[in-house]
Amino acid sequence: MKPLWRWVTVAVALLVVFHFGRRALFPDNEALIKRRLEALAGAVSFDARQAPLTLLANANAAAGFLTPDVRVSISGYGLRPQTWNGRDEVRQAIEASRSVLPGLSIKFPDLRVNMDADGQSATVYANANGRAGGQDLQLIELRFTLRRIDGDWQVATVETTSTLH
Amino acid sequence: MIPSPEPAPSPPWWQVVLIGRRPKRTLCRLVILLITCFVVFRFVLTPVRIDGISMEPTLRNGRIGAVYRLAFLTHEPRRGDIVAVSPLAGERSGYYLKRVVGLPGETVAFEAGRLLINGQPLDEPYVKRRYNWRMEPITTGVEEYYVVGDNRGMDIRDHFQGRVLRSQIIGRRLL
Repeated sequence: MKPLWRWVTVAVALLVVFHFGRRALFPDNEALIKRRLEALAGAVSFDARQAPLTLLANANAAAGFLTPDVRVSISGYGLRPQTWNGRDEVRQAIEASRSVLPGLSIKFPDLRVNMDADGQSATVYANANGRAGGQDLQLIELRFTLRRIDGDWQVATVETTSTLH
Repeated sequence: MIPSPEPAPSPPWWQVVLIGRRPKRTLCRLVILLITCFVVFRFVLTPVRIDGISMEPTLRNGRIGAVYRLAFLTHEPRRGDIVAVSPLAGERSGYYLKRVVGLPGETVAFEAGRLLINGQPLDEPYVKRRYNWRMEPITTGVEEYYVVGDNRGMDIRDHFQGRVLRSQIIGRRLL
């Protein structure tokens, strides 16, 4: 390999390492919010073989991603419209899902984050899919609003939305 | 007398099968092939698998097709086009495949299962079964289209349809 190419290769490699390193060590708000919502999906998901204490701990962890006055409103095709107000009510609903469903896996393959001008709140559009009891769930579109509270991004509202209106 | 150079030993057969006689050239071909596939499948022709019955009988559930992403570079979507609509959050989850029935600024309604555009019934030879759909008139905006599936034999409440922004229409169904 000629010396020039060697230096170019090293420079490109360093740039790539710097870019990904900076994103990993100093993530921006958008990356933080995405991580937060992915962690929320993980906490809401459960496997029926998990120990009851683990299920309870995950439900509490999921509630920790929410503001105390969170409002979750879910509706859509094939879904009975439901609304939960407040962190405690949502946590109870999550705990109830553990006893009703044999398993639940939620994923957000698409997340689009729109930061508000003040940098302290954000609106996120998400596609949610997954499996419940071995069956694929219908894809639903969600809109989250998040607020930054004590440095943490917390979910203030969740509602179903639709591309076609 | 100069001794003639010994011919280079031929590579083993498995190497020829796997990476050819000239590995560098094979690598170049592979890179070009990968880049071409990426560009074509990402920006030109996106493969899709139909999931759902809302476009039946035109598109059966489970059928494989493709979306031509450059279709609307030269002209706007036309009535009757089957288009792919990107969800608000992004398109990694998939697209909605629907038929354009209403153009910008038009009024769309359903009356006794018939589709009305600006109050006039639209001839829709692709619709084979009609349920008694009824919907109050909806007017599309300047940058909006009205899309609906071909399966009108299902309950209107179970059928995903509505207005969509032009920017969310990413291409036309090709196959």
